[in-house]
Amino acid sequence: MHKQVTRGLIAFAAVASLTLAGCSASAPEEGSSADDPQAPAEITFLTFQSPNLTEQFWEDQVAEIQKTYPNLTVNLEYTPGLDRQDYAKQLLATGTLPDVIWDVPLQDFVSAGALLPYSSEDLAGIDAPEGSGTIDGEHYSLTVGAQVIPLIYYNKDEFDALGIEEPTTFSELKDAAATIAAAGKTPFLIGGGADSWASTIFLDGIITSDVIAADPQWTAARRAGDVSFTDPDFEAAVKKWLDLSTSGYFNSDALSVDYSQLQSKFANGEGVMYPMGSWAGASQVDFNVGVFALPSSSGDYTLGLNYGQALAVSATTKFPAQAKAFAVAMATGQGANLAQLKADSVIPVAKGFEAPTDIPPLISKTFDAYQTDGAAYVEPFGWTQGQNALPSGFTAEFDKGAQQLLSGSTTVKDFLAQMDKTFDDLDQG
Amino acid sequence: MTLSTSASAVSRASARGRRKPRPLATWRFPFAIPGFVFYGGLVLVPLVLSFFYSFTDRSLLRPDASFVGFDNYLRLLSDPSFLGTFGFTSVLTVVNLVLVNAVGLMVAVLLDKVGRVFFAVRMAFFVPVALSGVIVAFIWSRILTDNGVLNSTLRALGLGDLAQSWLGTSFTAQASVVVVTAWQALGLCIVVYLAGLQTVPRELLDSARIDGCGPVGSFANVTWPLLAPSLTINATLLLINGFKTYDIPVVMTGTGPGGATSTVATEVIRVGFSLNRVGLASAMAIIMLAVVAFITVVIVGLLQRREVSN
Repeated sequence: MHKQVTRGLIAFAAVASLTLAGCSASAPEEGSSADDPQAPAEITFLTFQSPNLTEQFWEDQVAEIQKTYPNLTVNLEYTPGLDRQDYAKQLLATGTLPDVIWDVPLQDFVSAGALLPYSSEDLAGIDAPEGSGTIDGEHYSLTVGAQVIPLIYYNKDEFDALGIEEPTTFSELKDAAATIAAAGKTPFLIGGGADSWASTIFLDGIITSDVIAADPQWTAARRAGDVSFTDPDFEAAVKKWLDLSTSGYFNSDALSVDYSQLQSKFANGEGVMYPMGSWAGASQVDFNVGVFALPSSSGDYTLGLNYGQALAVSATTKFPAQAKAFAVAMATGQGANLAQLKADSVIPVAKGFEAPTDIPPLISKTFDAYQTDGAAYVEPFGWTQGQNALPSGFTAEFDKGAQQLLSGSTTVKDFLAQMDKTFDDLDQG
Repeated sequence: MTLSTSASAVSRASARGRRKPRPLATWRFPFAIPGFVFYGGLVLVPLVLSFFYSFTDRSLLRPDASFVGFDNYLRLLSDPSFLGTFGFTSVLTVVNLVLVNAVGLMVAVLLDKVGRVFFAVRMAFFVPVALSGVIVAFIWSRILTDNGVLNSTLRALGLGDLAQSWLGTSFTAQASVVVVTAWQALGLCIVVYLAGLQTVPRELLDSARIDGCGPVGSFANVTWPLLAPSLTINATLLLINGFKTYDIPVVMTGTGPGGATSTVATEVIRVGFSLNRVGLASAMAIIMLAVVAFITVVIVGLLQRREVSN
């Protein structure tokens, strides 16, 4: 018996030592300092890949920053799909949040104490509106630029062939759609499939233009109970969008093509107008493309600017100085800004950034549309960040309901009443 | 051989049969510890925690939580959205159970032959099993779009009237998810039935033929009863796989249009990680577990009874 116990202890020790050997962590490098951005550090950066922002793009960006911070090792991680925010939450919940994260659900992460605030020195090189990335007076999100939600990209060759001028009012936009449809072509391309946001980005633009323009603090007003989704202005905006669908102006496969397929459809000339975020300015197509800002019924322009392409730093990072330095370099570096502009048509907001003259023509036109004369700028509906953010998960519910509208399985009134209920429910946390 | 020799042999055999069990070798236990740790840490502990969380209002982002009793369960059972999702998941599972078993058995019987061609066809049927669900869904999403391979083929064959937006309407998207899920599950089902078919004794089939049974009679009276264990395995696997369907609707349709192809598993993730409601998501998971466990126990019980009677 004694022999068996002894054997058991020896075996346990052997198994335990093997297990521990597999679990042992490497000791921090000597000489590393949490305060010195130039000190050696190894950080992880969570970002995403898209048709515009490829793995090579990110590797080049990191390599560029490492020229300034040669002791910084950056491990790139990618989200499984375009949805960055839910994946970041999963990592947060499992305690494996990377040091630097691209695009987080700011309100949720700040309330969970998961992010480090940036200092005024970190923000010195950014020229973005005060409220973007700010919660309770602290700035947690460093934007790399603005995206317009949406602009209307169009096949200029088709416009010319049909004798259509760039619309300046919503009524003219509808007339243009009617002319295109009468010629047997698809006026607007919208998407769906695995990217439900592609179903609603056009609707978001109409709501921004017709509702948010009149009250940029609409979400706060909704939270306070001063406005509702069933209000006449909101209902009218949704009806405007749905009317385009019932008139047959959207592609028939709208609900089944994801974003990359949608992008291909536009590039293949399968539709004439393409309401999409300003990142479509980086599209590669074989025809002439024009772009204009979405006009309102009155002809005024209100552009929704999304500053969500932003970098956050984890509160649990072992290298806060290096992680912040990396984020600041990516957001403000001339090289990084230029790369973002060329690859994804992101409009840089770094102070002192000057766009070179050799940028691709469509990106240049996107810039012009962004600077449309007399345009006002607000945060776009459905893409708000920080204190103006919609409740967690609300946007996905809105997209789902809007898809039901497109498929005819609900009515505008029922959809909006449901949105009011959903907002109240989700706003409770 | 003498009687005493024979008795002695019987006695030895009897002694072998009644040999005392060897004492437990306690030195072996530590080697099981990693297994226990992994199973406990990755299965048992999360299961118990989920059960506990399902009675709380636990959020993904807040450490504090309050006990809410059966509120989460009552809410789910009166939520039309969840009931719709549960209904679709149930339909998907039942259709898979019946369709895959029927087609799988038919194909297995047809392929239960020796030869390179049959081997190649068996391999072809098994390929989808070896592919990740994400890849399968991605490929099918390209086949089923309006200008995809399926509609193009239908038009080329002069069947353009049958072409439609397979992923664009609720019903066709749901049907597409069911069919693609079944398509991927078919290979394993065939393999299990083929393994079962190869255990059917030739002598029994020969005897049945001598007794005047035709191919159908032989199958009904000999092969099918002896395939009972294969049916049990397939039914159990299809049931569990059907209820936990996740990757195909997420990648192929994004659970759309309008949430029409949501399953209980996709809802657990959405509610837990998008809405941050871990308590509610845990209640969904527990309901799914309870339903799968109950149906599996009932079906396996029935099928095993059939195995014994056969």
